[in-house]
Amino acid sequence: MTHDESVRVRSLIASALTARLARQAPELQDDLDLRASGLVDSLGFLQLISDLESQLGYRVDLADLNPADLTKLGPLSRHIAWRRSQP
Amino acid sequence: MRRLLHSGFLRSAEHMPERVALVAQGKTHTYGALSRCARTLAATLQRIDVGDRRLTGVFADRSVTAFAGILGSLMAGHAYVPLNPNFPVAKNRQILERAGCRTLIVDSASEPQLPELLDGFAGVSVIAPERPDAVLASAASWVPVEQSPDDLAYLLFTSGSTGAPKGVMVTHWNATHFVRSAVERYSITADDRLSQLFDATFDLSVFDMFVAWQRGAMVCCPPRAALWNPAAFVREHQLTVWFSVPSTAMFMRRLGAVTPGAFPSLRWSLFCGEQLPVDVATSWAAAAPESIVENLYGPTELTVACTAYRWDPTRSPAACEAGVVPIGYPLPGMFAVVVDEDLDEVGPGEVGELLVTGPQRTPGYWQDDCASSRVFARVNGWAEPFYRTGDRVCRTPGGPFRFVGRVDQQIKIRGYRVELGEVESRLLEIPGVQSAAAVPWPITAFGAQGIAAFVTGQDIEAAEVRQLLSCRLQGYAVPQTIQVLPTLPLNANGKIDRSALTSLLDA
Repeated sequence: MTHDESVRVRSLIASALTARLARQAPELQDDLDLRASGLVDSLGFLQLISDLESQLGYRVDLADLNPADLTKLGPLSRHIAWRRSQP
Repeated sequence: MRRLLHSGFLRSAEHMPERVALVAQGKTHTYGALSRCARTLAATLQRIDVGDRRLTGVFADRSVTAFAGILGSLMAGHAYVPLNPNFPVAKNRQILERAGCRTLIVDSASEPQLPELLDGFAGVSVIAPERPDAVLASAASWVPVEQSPDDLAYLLFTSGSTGAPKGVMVTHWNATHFVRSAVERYSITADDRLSQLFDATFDLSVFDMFVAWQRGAMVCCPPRAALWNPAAFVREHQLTVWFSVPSTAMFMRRLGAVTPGAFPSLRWSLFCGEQLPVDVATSWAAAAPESIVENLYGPTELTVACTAYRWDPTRSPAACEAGVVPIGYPLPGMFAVVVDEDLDEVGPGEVGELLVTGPQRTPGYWQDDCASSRVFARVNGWAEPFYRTGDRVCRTPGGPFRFVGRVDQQIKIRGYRVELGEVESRLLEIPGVQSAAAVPWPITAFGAQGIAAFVTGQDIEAAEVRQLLSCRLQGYAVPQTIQVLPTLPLNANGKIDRSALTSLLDA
């Protein structure tokens, strides 16, 4: 369930990036850092999370995600899915 | 030593060399060690004949070389000119060319950009202290330089409405007045640990460095990856003074990091650079219950900050209007007036432009008398020139100044000044673009969150225009969205109808 949700989140992030940048996002490796690669700045990241929440239908909680992993595609997607699975 | 920006650091280094002056890239540096690095760079600079062009570019990012480079430049009698390795190379080249630096200090992480940065520039001596084969003078050979408080301490380039950056000249006199005022106001001691979140190209960084070093305190510089959410860094290093733009706090709040009692070590929480929303002030005050929250205000031309408002959790919420915290009262020694278009003072409660003078008012723009004469103006009844902030404010008798808006097209994005005219100028440089307009968007109750642009032209695609623009402008100034239109809408006066453009976005 968590894995499926993680794949879904990851797919939505890729779509959101492609739509916002009006170009194809680069190949999405698990350790792709959205910030370091210049795909989003802090404002863009907040918008991305906001877009995600609209599509996922629930609030994304990032409070306890390691700052170093905050903008990495794989850890970010898995964290969102894991938080969702918590009671 | 006379009143110079680096005097406090040297005094602290002499009296408490074993105390930690800096945490950067995960390593601690004592005052003694940082002083040796700075003296080495200063002595190396002193061996280079720069004529009367005593300006050193510092091309480094959050490394010990960045901090030692700033100190070393000052100790050599140079003004430092911060460049930013995270800016597009074209932007840094523009600054380097405008300043005419003949010396450049660079760290190893930024070195790969050097060939492109310096391509075509002759006679720039590069000092790269982190190179294994660097040839440097010995720290002991540094000779203190006779300097005047009127000498330049730093030259900081801001966005210019015509596309050319304006170099704000800040003297030692300007900067030391601010630093001393802040040290007193916040009763800084050697036990304090200050956050260092700003790049050196943002003048708020002057507060973190020099207010701390004036009293032997510690500057704590988080790694770039932690800049978006430095909550863990605050706790790990038990910071006592927090200084950021409100956007950082808003971002941290959104991530759930600003919870009641989250930052018990803080005793001051300072915000500057853009409007501070009431709910951010309220939640931060709860997160840092032992700290006093202040909202500071000030353009670079008035040296970091010139007014402040102290947040009172009990009384302030009722005193705020439109959900934002006032910008407060002038700091000691600074004088502010509110004037109309004829530079006559307006009555109490009326809206007008804020003009400020005092020892922090800088002398003007680097080699740009025309721009200087536009914004440094005389006001009836006052002998000293004032700086025209371009900010519209109002004030009731005895009350704080409140920010109302701008008189021009300048906006702020996460504290950075952006002239929409500069964005348009850069768009027009792109092949195929025939006309361009930039508008603030989206706009919230607290101001612009970004920029939207519209262009017309032949065979152009929005994505390509955006890509090319990102090579010319800093990330925060690149429009979030660009639309290609057949023509730009005009109003009855034949000018671009910006409200019509904004309505396209909101449709």
